[in-house]
Amino acid sequence: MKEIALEGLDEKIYEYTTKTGLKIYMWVNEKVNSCLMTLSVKYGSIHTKFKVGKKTYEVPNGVAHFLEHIKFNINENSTAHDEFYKIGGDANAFTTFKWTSYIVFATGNKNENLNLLLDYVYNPYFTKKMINKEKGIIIEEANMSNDDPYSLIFYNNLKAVLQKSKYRNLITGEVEDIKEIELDDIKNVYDSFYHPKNMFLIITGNFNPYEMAKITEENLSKKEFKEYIEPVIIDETEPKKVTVEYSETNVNVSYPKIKYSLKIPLNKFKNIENLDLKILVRLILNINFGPTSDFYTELIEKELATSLSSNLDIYEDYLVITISATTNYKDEVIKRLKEKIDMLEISEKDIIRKKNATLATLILDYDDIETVSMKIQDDIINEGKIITDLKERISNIDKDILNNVLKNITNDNVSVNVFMPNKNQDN
Amino acid sequence: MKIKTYKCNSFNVHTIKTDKFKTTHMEIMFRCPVVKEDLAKQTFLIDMLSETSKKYPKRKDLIIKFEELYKTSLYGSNIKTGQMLIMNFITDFINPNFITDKNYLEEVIKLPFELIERPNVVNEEFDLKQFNIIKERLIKEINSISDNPFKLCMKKAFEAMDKDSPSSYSLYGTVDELKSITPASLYKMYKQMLKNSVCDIFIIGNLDMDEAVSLIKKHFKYRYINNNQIPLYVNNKIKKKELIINEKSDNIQANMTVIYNINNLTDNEKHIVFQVFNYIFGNGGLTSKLYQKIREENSLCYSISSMYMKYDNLLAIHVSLDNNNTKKALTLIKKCLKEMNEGKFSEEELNDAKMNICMSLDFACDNNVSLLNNYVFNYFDNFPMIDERKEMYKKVTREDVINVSKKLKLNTVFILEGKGE
Repeated sequence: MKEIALEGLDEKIYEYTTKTGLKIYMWVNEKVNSCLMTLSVKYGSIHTKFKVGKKTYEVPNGVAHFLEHIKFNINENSTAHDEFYKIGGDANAFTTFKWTSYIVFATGNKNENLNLLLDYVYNPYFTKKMINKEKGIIIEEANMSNDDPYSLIFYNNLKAVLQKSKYRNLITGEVEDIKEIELDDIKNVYDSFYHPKNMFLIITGNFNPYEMAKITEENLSKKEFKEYIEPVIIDETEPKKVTVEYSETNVNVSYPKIKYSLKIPLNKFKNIENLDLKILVRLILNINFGPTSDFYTELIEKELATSLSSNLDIYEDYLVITISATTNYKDEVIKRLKEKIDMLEISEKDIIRKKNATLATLILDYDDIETVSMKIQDDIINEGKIITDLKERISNIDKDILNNVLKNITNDNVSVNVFMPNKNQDN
Repeated sequence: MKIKTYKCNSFNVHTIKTDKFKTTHMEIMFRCPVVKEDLAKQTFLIDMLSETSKKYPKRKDLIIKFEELYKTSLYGSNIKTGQMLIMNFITDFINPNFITDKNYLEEVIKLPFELIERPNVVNEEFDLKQFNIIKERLIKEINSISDNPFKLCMKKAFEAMDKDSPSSYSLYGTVDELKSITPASLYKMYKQMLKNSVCDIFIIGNLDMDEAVSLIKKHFKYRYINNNQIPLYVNNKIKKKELIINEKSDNIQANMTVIYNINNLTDNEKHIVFQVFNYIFGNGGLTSKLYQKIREENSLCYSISSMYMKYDNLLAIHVSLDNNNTKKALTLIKKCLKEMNEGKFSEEELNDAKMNICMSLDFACDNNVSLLNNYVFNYFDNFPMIDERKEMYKKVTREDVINVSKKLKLNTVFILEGKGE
């Protein structure tokens, strides 16, 4: 058992690797009653094309999510939910672009809950019948997303920025994709990716880490795992340019919304790790577009917009920054955004105030068992390890480092997408 | 965990001291009876008071202050609980033992009272600039409800049930009501809030509570004493025959809301037994009768659940599904309830429901807001404390559950039709 100290935060994470290769990350908080167990597989909605040895496989969009749904069946008559219900475990699961997690909250019967979590996720029981049954349910889920204008806007914007990337697709898949999914696709993905070496377990809350590691080790030792076949994901090469520079779409919203997105190749930010880049860009956006900025204040005070927000993410080899606004004056707001991007700025005063607040409150990341679990998932998936020096990384930020990043945030490769209310809506 | 109430003449401070959490949560509540005509103004007022003040006129000024106080968050929120309106100022801040700055606690406790007592007002009128910004945003929020088919369907269903019942009132009011508000009339509502409400403050966190209360007294000069009892429960009228309404929409899916009245529950039934019934019937997640019948056996939807609106004596069920399946789903919902009436659930299901509810109470103890809320409703409504409730759940029998299931009567079915893929 390894203890990983989180520098300057008086917290530690236990790390244990089982004989099967499954890694366990544990954070203990003895002040609470409950604990949260999350078993994750590094397989998400974007991993639809992969290679095993020399053979290439391609499965329909939505397979990761479909598999997550039917994974809950234990046999013909029973589901994992029924079994968790009997021992007082609150179980659920979710699929993201990059990974899939199976979770259970427990306050009592913690050992039983852990055993059940491992038992049902590592039980490859899939039938044609359950696939047909589940199709109806998942199609309704996809339709719910398509009735949600915010989800529609999110994906439409990604499609406008990314030309080929798998991030363009709904995590559930579209209705047509879902109809295509077959038993063989599910089995193929399960056999290729659901191996302890491609998975990790996180436990946060009140429990004994040595006991949990022992239970996991014993549980897995009774299961048979084939050798890990090490599938290799085949990514689409994403072209440099955005897909469209400007679009207007009618959707079911009451007021026009703008998404102003910048697509910047990561290789422009030499010698900066992705994690640091995200922290730095977030700070730059906050200073320039957040509620303490003059830009935000003027837009709101002049009633040019009623909301303004910014976010960023890394897709493939690109940093994508998106500024969103709700406005009745789209042309004026787009013009101002363009001008603002050309003259981004940062003041020493803002940096110090925002840095101090962040540093003082970093300890709050380690208060809630769900937040900590998500934080570890994020570290493992995106950084490949637990980040132990976040405090130092933030302390080191200064104006020069920020300016070095800022100079690459430009209007060179922009996609502006406007979402207008449907014609029959009149406010 | 130590609970203590401090009586400060015109308000009470209820404190829960615990070292379980790294942050402190404080709610300053002004309570009054729900009056339909006042709701739009009250919603406007809470935003006005929590987003701008004499000292911090712009949003920017306030956010900078929050950052200086280590990401303190402060916001206003109105809640309609049956017949009672709560105007609530909520502050979350990092516990002072993590902060070296000696004035921190006083600065952070002072802030909400600074906003409440010194609003952005000149000559008995709120500042026009900020007034217009908030007004414009609220109008958009009212109109944006149609962006969310679920919320829209719920709203329409309650209005169809009885537009004169407090259960169907919208906290935002209508656009016309909002447009008729002026900076002067809003100021009158502010005076009314101070004069006619009952004020209570609730704090949970790791603080020296004596010190916190003396700081509150120092910075909160509220002088109006009101001890009026505010009624909570709404008795919604029962319909002889249920109302079924269909309305067209542009959505792909249909949305359906089904409302039942709940009649004559005893205290034990409303606090305890009905929760058990609802857990088995429709709120127990993936094992509930509704979920099993409508999603698992018939693949009609992604999710379905029933919501117990205790203070409205109502149960509301919502489902999004294909347009062609609404009739079938309604028949199945009725069938599920009939099965509950007939006691078609096993002893095991009953015990599992009780165990899972108790487990969710254990979870609630790990969250500062849930712990505080439990105390708040103990104070307002004698809602039993968590440990007491766990014992009460153990005593619930099959007959108890069957009995409450018979106290339901269908009132309204509202279907917002979809147009398909």
